[in-house]
Amino acid sequence: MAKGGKGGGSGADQANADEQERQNRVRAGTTGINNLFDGQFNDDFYTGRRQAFLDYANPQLEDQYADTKKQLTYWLDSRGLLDSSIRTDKEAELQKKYDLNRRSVADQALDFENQTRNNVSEARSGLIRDLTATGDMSGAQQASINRAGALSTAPTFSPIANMFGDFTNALNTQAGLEKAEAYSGGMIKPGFNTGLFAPNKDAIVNQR
Amino acid sequence: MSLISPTKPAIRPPQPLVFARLALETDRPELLELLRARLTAVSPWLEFDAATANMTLDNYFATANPTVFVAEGAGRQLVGYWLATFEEYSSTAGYAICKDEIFVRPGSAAGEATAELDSAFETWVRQLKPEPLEVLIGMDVDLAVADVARLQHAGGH
Repeated sequence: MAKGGKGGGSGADQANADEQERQNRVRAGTTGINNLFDGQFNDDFYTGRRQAFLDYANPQLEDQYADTKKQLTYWLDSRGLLDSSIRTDKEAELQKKYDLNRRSVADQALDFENQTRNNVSEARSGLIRDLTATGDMSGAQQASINRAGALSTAPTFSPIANMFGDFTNALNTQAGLEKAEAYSGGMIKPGFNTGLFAPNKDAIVNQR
Repeated sequence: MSLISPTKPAIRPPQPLVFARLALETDRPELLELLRARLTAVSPWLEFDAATANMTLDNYFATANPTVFVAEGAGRQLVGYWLATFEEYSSTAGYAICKDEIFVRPGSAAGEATAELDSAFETWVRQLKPEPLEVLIGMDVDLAVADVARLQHAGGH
């Protein structure tokens, strides 16, 4: 049984002395990694990442909103509805859609910030794990500089999807359903009927 | 690359990543609290002595005997530790490693912290040169707290 203090052998002393040197290197390396990451990845960095996402996505959202508004105006005008209550309803609907999309972009920006935090946290713990296993302080130092550099690189984003597609599609779908109801003699029932899109019964129809 | 979808996204919260590493001098205040918490949990009839605990940590930083690993959780908070010593034999050359203490704070990270500490212990032992002849696990691990208490009371403590 080993427990019970010092014996006659020197095995423990040698292993202990080597391990002491190794642990000094690992602790110094760990402190170096912490200092590097703490200096570079602070709250300002994460907030900046979220803001970068917002700065990229929000102008695109505004452009899409402006385009959809134009489409709605054209759609209303082509049907003579610019001075109708339909206009008020549709504009309120579009505004609601815009507000939801704005919130969706903000949520995704927060998600991006959290993901960045996770990536940084994983990188730091991975570097310290490797250092602890190998005791290679200079290797860990270089690896941490590389990882920190990669994590600091400005992010790239894909263009945003069409966030108002369902709104403009809904305008066309409603018109289609009301026409279908008229053509099918009432067999097809839309959820509601604005009475605006069914064919005019008094219209002149060419027949053979 | 990140694709912005028009559908409502699922927001991923920051993941508390638990991992084990060698204790640092900056961990000392938190580590002392962990030492105190373990003593209270395992041997509540013993009084925590900060001076002794500090001396133990001084020895760790100065000699690596004992060696102390900590488990770091969310917000870099310490959630557990183990402490192991180098022990010589009375009648044979070589040495053994004895894991004297392991403690993990109760909580959501306890399972992960325990696994990380165990894994770190194994990795640490494997890299020691010369290799230890034996790895001895202290009663913190071998026996439930209630069993330890019974044994210690039976021994007159």
